[in-house]
Amino acid sequence: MTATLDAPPVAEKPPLFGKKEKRAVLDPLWDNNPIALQVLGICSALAVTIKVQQTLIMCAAVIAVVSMTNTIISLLRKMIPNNIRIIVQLVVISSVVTIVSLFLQAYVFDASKQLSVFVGLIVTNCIVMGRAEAFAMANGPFRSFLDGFGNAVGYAWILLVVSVLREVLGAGTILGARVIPQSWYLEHGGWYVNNGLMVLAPGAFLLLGIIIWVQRSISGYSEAH
Amino acid sequence: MDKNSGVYVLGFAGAVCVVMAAGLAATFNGLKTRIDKNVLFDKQRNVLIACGLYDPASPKSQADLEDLFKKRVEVKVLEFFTSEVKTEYRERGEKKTRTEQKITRAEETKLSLAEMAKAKRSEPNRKLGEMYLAKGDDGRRLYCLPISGYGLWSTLYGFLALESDRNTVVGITFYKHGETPGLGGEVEKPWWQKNWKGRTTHDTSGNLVGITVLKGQGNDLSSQPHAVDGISGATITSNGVSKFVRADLRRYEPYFKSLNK
Repeated sequence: MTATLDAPPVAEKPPLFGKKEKRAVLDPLWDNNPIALQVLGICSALAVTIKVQQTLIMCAAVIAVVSMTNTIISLLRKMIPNNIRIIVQLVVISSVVTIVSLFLQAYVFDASKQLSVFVGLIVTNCIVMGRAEAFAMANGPFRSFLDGFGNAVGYAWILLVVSVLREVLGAGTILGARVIPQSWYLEHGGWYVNNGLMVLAPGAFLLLGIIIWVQRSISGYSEAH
Repeated sequence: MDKNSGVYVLGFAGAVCVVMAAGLAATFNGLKTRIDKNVLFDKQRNVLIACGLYDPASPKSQADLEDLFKKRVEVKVLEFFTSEVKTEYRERGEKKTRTEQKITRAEETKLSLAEMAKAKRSEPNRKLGEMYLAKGDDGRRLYCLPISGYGLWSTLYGFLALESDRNTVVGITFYKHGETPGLGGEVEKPWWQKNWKGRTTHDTSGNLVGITVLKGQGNDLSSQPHAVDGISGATITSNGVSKFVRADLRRYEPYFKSLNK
């Protein structure tokens, strides 16, 4: 990526992957993270982070949805009448979510069953509509795609951190593989007990709060300004 | 053309809907065979779980389970009103030919009101039901019935397996529902489903009483052989389950009675 930055600017024609594109994809990862700074998409961050495996699939679904909806809406942005733009965005978003959900049912059926309603609820994830309205309506398709991708990845990595912590602390496993040895457990003569709070929603709240705190104190963000 | 004129707005909205609907339809048709296959396997797996032939805690491969299903389970179709058992199996939702449609429609309208009322209230015209006859580990016959009905938000679909006495429950599973995860959604969890094992559906004089899901968790069941412990925070789902399990059992009752004779 530094290579594209250092490349000499092409006369007149802006570079395909210039500064703005780079910002569109990198900003939401840290400096303007949708969860840590904008506190969007919290509902699914609580609901689908009990096990790493389902979180991975949820993240993949959200990345696919936000990238696609942002691209489609950006392509349509000059045609969409202003007074029905939110409805048009919703039609596009819900169609794309349904398509993604069908793909999950066809290729990862068990995981799609475990995610149950939460795949459909991507429609109501504020990140999806937020990016469509705030970015894709005003920028070209490629940049919008990058912005959607960046925001979804920014959402995904926080979810993954939460889910790894929750699965390790709550069940002693990662992706179903045991990390805390069986012999440590109280019922096997050890001293360890899984933290029951971690498999419940309040556990996710606590973790998420801590992550947002840590992220904000490193990135130096404050609500005050 | 003015982007905010009524004609443009209507035309654009219509066009977006048509294009998106076409995309959805194309995707669905392209993936339909795969999804159907997954759904069918999921049902078969749940029949095996309900009959206690497969414990998901020690997972088996899809091929193994399909093999087990083929070896142990016979799929039959029961005519509720005549207690006739058919071997022809037709997936629900599969298309019938024109003449078949005509015949069934004619048959359905011929049903008397009393007969309809006897059948399930939500699906008054249903005359046929699947029945899975499974062979238990010691060769005894198990009866696995599809159960379905309303919970709080959604229709739940599952299976209830009965012992060879057609009275004692072997197991219950739910393979499709839209209940609240963590509350009503707990019906799909093994910890709750194991409560059903050994409960009975008939009183001592042989009358069908069904099985009642009690309110809340931690009930004393010692004097209630026809009840199972409930789920805290899921009373409406539980009540729905009690209701439709009883309704479904009632539909199979004439056939089971005819076997007892």
